[in-house]
Amino acid sequence: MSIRLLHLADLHLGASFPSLGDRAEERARDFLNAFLRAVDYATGGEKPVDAVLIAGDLFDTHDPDEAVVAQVETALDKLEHAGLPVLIAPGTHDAPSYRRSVYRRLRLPDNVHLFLSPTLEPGPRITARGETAQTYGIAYDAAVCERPLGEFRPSGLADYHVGVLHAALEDSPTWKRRSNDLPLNRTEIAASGLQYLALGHYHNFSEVREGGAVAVYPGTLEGKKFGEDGPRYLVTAMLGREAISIERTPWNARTLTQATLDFNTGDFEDEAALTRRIQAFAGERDLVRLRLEGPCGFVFDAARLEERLRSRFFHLELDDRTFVLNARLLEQYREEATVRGVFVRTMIERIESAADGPDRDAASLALRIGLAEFQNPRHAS
Amino acid sequence: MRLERVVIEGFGPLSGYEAVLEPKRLNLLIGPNESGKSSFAQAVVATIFGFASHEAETLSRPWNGAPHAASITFLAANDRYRIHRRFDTHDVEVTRRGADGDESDETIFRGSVNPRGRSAERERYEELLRGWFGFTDPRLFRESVFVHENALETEISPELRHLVSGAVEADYQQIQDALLARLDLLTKEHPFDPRARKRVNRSIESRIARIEELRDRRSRAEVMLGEGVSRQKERDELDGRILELRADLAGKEQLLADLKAWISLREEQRKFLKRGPAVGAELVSARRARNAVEDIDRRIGQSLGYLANAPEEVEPDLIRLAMLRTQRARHQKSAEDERARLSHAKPVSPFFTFGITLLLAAIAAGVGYGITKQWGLAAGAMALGAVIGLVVSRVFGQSTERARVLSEAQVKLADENIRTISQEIDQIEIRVNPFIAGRTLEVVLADAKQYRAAMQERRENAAVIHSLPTPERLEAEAKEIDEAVASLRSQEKLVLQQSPFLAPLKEDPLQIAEASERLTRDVNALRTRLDAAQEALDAVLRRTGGDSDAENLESLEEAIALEEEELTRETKLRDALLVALDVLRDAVREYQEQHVGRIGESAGATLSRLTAERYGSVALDADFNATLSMGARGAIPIESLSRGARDAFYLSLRAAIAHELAAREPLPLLLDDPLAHLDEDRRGSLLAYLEELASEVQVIVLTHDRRVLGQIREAHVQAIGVIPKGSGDISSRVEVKR
Repeated sequence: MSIRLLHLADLHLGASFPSLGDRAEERARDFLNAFLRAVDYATGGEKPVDAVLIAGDLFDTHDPDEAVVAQVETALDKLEHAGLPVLIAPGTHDAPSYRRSVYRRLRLPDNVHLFLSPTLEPGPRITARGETAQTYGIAYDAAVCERPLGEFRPSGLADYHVGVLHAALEDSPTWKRRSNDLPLNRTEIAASGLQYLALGHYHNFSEVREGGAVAVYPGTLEGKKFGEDGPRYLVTAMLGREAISIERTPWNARTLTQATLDFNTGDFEDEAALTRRIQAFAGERDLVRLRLEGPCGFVFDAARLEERLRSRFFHLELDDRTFVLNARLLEQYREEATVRGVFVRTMIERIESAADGPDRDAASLALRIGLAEFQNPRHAS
Repeated sequence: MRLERVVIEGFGPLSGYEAVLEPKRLNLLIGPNESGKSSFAQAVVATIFGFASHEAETLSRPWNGAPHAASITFLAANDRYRIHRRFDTHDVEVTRRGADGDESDETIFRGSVNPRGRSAERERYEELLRGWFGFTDPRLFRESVFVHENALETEISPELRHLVSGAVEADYQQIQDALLARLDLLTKEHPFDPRARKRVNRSIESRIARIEELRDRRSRAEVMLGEGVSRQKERDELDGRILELRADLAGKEQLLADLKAWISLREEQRKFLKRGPAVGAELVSARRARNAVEDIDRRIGQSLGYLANAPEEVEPDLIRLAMLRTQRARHQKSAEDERARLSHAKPVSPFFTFGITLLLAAIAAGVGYGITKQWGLAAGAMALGAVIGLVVSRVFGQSTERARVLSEAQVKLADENIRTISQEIDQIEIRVNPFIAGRTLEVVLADAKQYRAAMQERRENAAVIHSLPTPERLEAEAKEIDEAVASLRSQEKLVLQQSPFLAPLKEDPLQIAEASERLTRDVNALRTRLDAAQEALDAVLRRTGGDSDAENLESLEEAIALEEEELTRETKLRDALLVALDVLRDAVREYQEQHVGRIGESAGATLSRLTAERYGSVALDADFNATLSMGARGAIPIESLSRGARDAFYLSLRAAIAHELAAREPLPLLLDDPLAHLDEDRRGSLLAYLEELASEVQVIVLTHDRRVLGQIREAHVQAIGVIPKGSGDISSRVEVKR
């Protein structure tokens, strides 16, 4: 006996991807398809879920493209035909406080409940197999609501109380509240009286269990930007009397990967070896950002290399931070009775005397830049 | 680097030639012109660096078919190396030998090194070159320590400046320019010169402005969103009031419209009702006119039909005919009267004449006698009376004759007139006879008059018919009017039902006007209030950014984050560029202070020696532009020196540079006939100097000038090429010591 909830958030439909160039549209389609596949999953076969929760940022902007809105309306209709309740809490990207907010024009079938109250208020009850779940939701409004869970207490009798919130969990010392964020912390989660908090806002999956409450960020279904690397999941929550369990299914069509190739440790004796190493990441489903670091004994042009290898990836970014010089040469230069010799010597002195921090970084970069110009064949007279 | 042995298997004129060189002594290679001295020097450079062009390689092929190859053995950094190169295949082998005494060879490189191609082997070989010399470009070798025949003055070429800059392909000035150019893309500020600040924003300034703008937009959006909420109530109220006022206004306007509609309905009805009798009267007139026309037509048809085809002139013709006939009758009558008078008239008889004469004579005689009583006189009177009688009868007779002639003329005239009139009558009768057709003229004339009157009457009636619609049409119109009136009545009924307030007005114009005015007043008042409400709403909308929406905060955040990230990157790069430029400037200054000064001093000392202290010190700037001073004469430009003095100066400079560069890895000074322009004294000084220099830098002098043998104190002398007979006591290898 349990109630099963499909928990979606941060779908960012209608997002644009200017950094992906001519693949931007394809990537935007990936996002839409991930959502449509999730709807197919929810409406398919033997009723795998009892309700669909969308915890904010269904759309990437408050005023998305009409074509996207139409697709979402069709999907919502499909969920209605399947008899599935759908609960939508707006997020920060698609906040309803905008005059042209999509939620003012989105055609909602009867099965869809949109939370528009700026405080956490009860929504519909979900009933399945003799059990009920009372839902609560909120549409954030900075002018009204300071802390959504501050004063909140569940109302009425139900087997489970479920919150749908697009909120930022203060869960790390570096957490910095932005004016647009809806804040909550572990203490509030524990004291909320909610059994399940369907959260949205953070783009990577995370699960917090605190005082009998389970708060989950499902993350994006497709990585939106680097940092949302690796597999993305479709998250289903099973509310049971004994326990609340979370089920994750890898869902992404494409994968974002970030890696560092360190020339200190990696054995890249020439460009061919570097190319081979980069190609190990290649794939039509892969968006890859590689950071090249450390001293490099050979000269190569990262932009050209990226251009050459791009076709083997869905998207490739090379972030070249290598030091195009080897240590022996540097030693040799500093001994020279030349301007370069004095330059290198002064620079190394500066680097060594500077404390760790911006000054040292600037001096290191200055040495690289200066030497690159000393070696630059473009200056041939 | 010091050369120990040069073995030339084949290179131009040289084949199977071997030169053994002293590392720490002046090496003199003497040979006549075309003995291969220059080839020897070229072979040394080519063995190390290869040929930069295929043409140079071809030109240096051995004349006698020996293998195109050479090897050199040299000391560098306490190790002994041997480079063997085949120029045709570019095969190079480098062996390292132990330092003095250790004879074990170790091949450290073997491969094809073509300076015109790019290969891993070449890169490895260049690594070795850099280790030995600090550079891989033979030009630099040539520009510094290798002096071509008569080419002492190869000036301070860009390459040499590159060499002292440390860059292979650039001098520090170009490097600084490149760094400045990169900085210029980032910022409009100039690192050294505030006046050189650009006017147009560069990337960093633009980005800062853009971030500023994005932040403004963000706070605007935040304000709009915040106000949007707090003002929403106010807005909703105003919206509600406007809706209410609009409804009120719409109601009043409807009433006003109804009133106007009712008035116009009544007006139209009245028009129709007024038109009703008019249509009736027109119908009567039309019908009467039509009947009259029909009557006239019938009348004409019955009795006047014969005139239907008569032309217009018939009537005047008939009138004229009647008149003519009357005239003719009158003329005929007067002619007959004249004729009758003529037939009765008779001429004056003689008796009448005699009687008159006698009578008058008698009367006169009687009168005369009576008066005078004299017979004479009576007789005279009688004669006079007779004469008078005669005259009177004569006059009388003449007047009678005249009257007769006159009557005859009148008869003739009347006849003439009768004929003329008859002719005209005949003409007219020809025209009118068809209509007369046996009728009397009077009857026809009367008929014609009657016909004309009838036609006139007909025309008048026809005009009436023409001016009015047909009776049928009028009947239809009357029917339409009835229908329209009925419809208007029903519409009016509807309006009255809709606005019951109209009924009591009972068409009283005063009441209607009052009601209309009252309604108009109400409508205007409502409009004013609506405008005020709308204006208040507009003011609220303006305050909250109007109907325009706030920009998406998250998108703005992302844009700001992106810009800031870029700005950080660019700022870092700018800072690094500033550091690099700063350090480069310091480095140049330091280099000038440390090295250039020393090179200048050293060159000055040498020059002073070579010129027997004629020229004193040499001052160099960072670009090696030299100024010489000559005792009290002060600065002298190089160009003003004699060729010999210039050669001496450049040799001094080269020696100084070689010495300076040799501080790290001494390079041999290879001089190909540098002495041609020097006089004997200077040649002697130069040779003495070179001998001295040889303890620090290996010096190899190639010359054709055997006189030098008499001027050197200590040298390692070797012949090159063919030694002409009788040329003295030089064997193939000579040690000279004094």
